[in-house]
Amino acid sequence: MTIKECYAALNGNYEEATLRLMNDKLIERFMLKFPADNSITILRDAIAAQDWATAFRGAHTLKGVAANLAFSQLQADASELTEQLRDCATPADPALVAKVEASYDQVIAAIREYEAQKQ
Amino acid sequence: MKRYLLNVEDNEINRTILTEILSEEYHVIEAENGQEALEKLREHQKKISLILLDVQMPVMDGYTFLDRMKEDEGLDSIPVIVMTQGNSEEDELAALEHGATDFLPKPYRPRIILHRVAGLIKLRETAAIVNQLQYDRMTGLFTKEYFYQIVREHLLQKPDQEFCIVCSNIEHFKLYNDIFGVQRGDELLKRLAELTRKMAGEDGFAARLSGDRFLCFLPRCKAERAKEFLEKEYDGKTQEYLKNVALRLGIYEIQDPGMSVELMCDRALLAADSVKGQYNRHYAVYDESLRDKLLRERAITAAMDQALQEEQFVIYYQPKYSLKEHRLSGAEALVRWIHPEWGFMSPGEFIPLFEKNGFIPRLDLYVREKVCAQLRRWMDEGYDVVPVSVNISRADIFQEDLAVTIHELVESYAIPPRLLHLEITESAYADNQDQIVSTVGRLRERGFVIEMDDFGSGYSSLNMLSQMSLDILKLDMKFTQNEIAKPVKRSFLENVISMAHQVDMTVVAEGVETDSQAERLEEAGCDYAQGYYLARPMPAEEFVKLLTKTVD
Repeated sequence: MTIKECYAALNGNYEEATLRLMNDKLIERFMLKFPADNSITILRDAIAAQDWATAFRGAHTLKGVAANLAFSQLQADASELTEQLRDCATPADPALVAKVEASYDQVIAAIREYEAQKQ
Repeated sequence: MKRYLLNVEDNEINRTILTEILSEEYHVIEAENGQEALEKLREHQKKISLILLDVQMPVMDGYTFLDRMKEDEGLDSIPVIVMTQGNSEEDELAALEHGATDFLPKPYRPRIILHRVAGLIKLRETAAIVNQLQYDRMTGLFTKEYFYQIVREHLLQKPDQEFCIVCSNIEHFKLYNDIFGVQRGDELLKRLAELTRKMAGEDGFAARLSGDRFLCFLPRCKAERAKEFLEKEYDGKTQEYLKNVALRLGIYEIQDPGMSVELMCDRALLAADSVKGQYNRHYAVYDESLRDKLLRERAITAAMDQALQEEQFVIYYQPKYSLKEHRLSGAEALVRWIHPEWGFMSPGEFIPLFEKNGFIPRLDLYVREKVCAQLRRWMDEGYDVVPVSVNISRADIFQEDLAVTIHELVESYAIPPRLLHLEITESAYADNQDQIVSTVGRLRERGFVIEMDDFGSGYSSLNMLSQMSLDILKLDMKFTQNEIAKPVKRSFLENVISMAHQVDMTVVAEGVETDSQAERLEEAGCDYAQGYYLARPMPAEEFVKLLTKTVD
């Protein structure tokens, strides 16, 4: 599995990633850091605690990271949730949360597969 | 040189990506939130060229960080680029309102970021250089370069108006620094800078030319203001700081706006220099006669070294006579300058200039050499030589090894020291008493005869006569003439002479021009006389005719 194939599997934009991160080596380096990124945890914990301000910050960060890595589908879904949470008062829309979780899982699955075949 | 950037972002992936983008061209310092960023900033303040700032951060967000930073005078000039999320105009506006220099949207676009960062750093550094060149660091006045530039522009913009340049400077500022210390010297400069700024007012400019020299550009009609200012500063009891200071102003009225500003300032400075050493004048306006005088001085200064090399300086001998026995008792060596083009130069013109420009010790040395050589020649030819007196300049008196060098000189010509009389001016005593007393002591120990010259011309000190053993007291020409003109009862002449005799000094009167003056001096007990009535200064070949031969 190449980086390009991995990006296809996680619904990302490989061309954009190349533009930002110059080469496969760097894309790989940052992509592999993503599973450890804690913005999804912040989002999940805040939703459970019904802390909508923190939930907004979590969604916002997740969207930013996804954008920088050109994980397009996750970025779009996180962006939708971020806007829904922007007033930091409205409870999260479960449908939007579900979309974010789904695309997040897809990204993680693709990265794990890439990692596995690399070893 | 690789500049330092501060990258403030809480999310590790985002932060690392940004650092990665920048790290080829910059050193990147990272911080995870506003609090940490402030700490890093204070730690590396001088180094950091630019800050990249995220807004949404725990502990301290980007806006709070900006607010804190702007409160700190040392930090508020560092440019900040806020990284905004996506296309939120609200975020962008908020960033600028909190004092950000610029914003850039996420996701990162590496080439845009690099260009923006480089541009902002360059802008800030250029502004800093301009600022540095524009203002003098110590006084806050304009620098000379900037002054020249704005004066030039001003003259171009207003060709139909008349302006002037005022240059002020402190006499003996170096001495002030030496006596009171550099710190007080700096304080004085700051006070004078303030004075210059006030003098410039709203329609002029003030600048620091160099060291203790200040410049002021004013409309011509305001030149009076500068003079008044100075007079006001000097009569006031309030201006304590000016008490030990002589401030001089030189004014140049600009005739030709096309002339270089440097030259204008140079002329104002020359005018200021022309009143140095004068106690009743604080300013001068540059004019044609001043120009001619200064040009002449420059020409003389330029010619003096060559004159010494080519032996254009000629020694003349003015005889001294004993009043009682009416016979030749000695001579004073006087220097004459015969320039190949200018002809005979008046000593009254070049001696004061040589005293001012520091040439006099070299000329004195030359005279001493020539006199010794001449005495040696006459002795070899079998003449019964008389003592010849030469001047010791103020600068020489303060040389530790003067006695040694003069002694070596007479020894090299095998001349007894008593034949070389050394004339020391009275005013040198006022400068540094201890030094002169010890120098005179050392010279007398070696057998030299010391004459105190110009007695009665300035602040004659009786204390000096009791403090120091001298051999001969030379009465100043003016003093002699004044005292002779008075009725005997009211004249000091007798008193001064008898006082000198009491401390074993003999007395020479200078400037004797008539028969009756000579008689009067003899009656008063004066031992020797010198003056036009008796004999004018003459070249060696004439003077030798006055000498007698012991052996033929």
